[in-house]
Amino acid sequence: MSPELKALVRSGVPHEHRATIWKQCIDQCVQETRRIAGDGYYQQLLETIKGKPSPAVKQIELDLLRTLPNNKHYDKLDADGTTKLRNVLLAYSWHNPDVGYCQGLNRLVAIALLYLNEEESFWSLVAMVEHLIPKDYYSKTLVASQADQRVLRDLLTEKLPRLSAHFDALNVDLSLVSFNWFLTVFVDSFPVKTSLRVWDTFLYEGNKVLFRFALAVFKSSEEQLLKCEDHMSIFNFLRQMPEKLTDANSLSQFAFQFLNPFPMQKIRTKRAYHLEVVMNELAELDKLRENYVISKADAPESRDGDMLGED
Amino acid sequence: MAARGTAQRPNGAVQGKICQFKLVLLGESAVGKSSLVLRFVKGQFHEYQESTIGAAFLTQTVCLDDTTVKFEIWDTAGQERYHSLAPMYYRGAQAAIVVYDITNQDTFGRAKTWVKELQRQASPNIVIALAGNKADLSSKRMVEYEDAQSYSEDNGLLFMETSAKTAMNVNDIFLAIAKKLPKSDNASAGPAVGRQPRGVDLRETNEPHQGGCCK
Ligand SMILES: Nc1nc2c(ncn2[C@@H]2O[C@H](COP(=O)(O)OP(=O)(O)OP(=O)(O)O)[C@@H](O)[C@H]2O)c(=O)[nH]1
Ligand SMILES: [Mg+2]
Repeated sequence: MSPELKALVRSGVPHEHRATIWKQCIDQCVQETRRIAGDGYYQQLLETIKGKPSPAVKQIELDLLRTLPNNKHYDKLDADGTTKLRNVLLAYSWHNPDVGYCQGLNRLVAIALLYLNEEESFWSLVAMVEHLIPKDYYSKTLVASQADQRVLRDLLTEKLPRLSAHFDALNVDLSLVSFNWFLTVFVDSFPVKTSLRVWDTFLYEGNKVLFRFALAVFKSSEEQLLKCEDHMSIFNFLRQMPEKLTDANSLSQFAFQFLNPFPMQKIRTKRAYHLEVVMNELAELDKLRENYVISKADAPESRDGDMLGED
Repeated sequence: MAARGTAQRPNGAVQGKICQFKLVLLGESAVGKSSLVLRFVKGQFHEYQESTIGAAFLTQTVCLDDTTVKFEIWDTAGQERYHSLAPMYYRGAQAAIVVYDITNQDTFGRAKTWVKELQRQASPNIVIALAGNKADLSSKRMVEYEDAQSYSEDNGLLFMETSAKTAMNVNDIFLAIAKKLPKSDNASAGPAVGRQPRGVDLRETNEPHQGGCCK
């Protein structure tokens, strides 16, 4: 991966080269896995899962027509895109049972399928979930994505201290909105053309670029956000503003020039720290829920809804 | 009751108090949480509503007599693994709508679990409404109205069957919540709301900072 190519990708991959570049980025990640798995791996997966029940099936079916519903490839149950989407998601849930199916992955595959064939899209999902995005982003408790939202908050404090103080003063918890940005790689919030630009660099450099783009969103609207006087207007603004970001070039400039330096090592350290904090919090929450289940089991007369909170 | 309130802010009407409340929607995936919000906020219904990843934020204002009630609505993701994010969204909420799908018994069971969790872990005075959605699909009904009704009575919940598709009871359920919320100058001194047992405060679930009282 040369610095020249990196710069080129950051300045935007032309539409006609997108499939080629994306495929190269993905190959780079999954070459080894793919070689070990052998040639017919994806086809075998599809054979294996045929008619088999899996916990993922139900949720995948619920989501198929709720994935980019305005895109003609996915607007009917028998549309070509919908069939491919189902296959890739089912195959992946079988390939990686720890993740299975998590809402959000449907968006990633739907975008990949716009440029890649079905099998390549499957491998793109492998590349994204297992290489480009930290472990445990989409698994059981989403613990790693929770940690990343706190990393983002730290970075905001460093890069945009005025805005960060403003958010603190208004009690704005950014993660409430930024989860969606990270879990869908901005597919839900940016206009398609802008999100494709995010995708170019995301596939080339990994999910670290999501911090850059998230901060670029804040930087590009810093003055307006500073004018918001309560948390409601901030959240309202943050809902509507990203879809108006049609100027991908200036957003990219904020992301890749204004925000430098942006050392990966720092992000790694912050990640490790927050991951541990979040895991401890989740363990505490689990304990509380467990205690509750036990205390309920001790009270044989209690039915649903009775005897709540009397201990 | 419909005569007293409306989901639209009357143009230029002189308003008295303005109250702001945080409301969260919880319930299993595909029961129609986002559809209810879309109906309430924009008056629309989409046959294929995008599934919610993380959560979505919307606001809507209703007028009750001389009071303007601003709802700050958090529509959450329904898939089980998003459960661990839910406390972030219901923390500090004054109201919750727990939604199930009347054509699916499992979703009713899940709704009861949400109610329990809210009663234990959300703000002690939270107003909880139960919505049996997709009431237009009565030929496929699996959850009896009476069952949900008596469960709600036992637990001090507001209850309505709704349809985001036909708009049945959608504004009404939000209005009923608005009416039940304390609108005195200090929310915590407001009238007791239902039979809400005190929850075990897990973390700072009871932050006073956001809304909840009139200005
Ligand atoms: N017939 C009927 N269909 C409904 C109704 N409400 C929602 N739907 C449909 O049910 C599906 C799921 O609705 P959503 O609003 O996306 O459900 P959700 O609870 O937000 O789901 P998640 O975002 O996955 O948690 C959509 O296809 C809606 O069109 C209703 O009242 N009647
Ligand atoms: Mg939804």
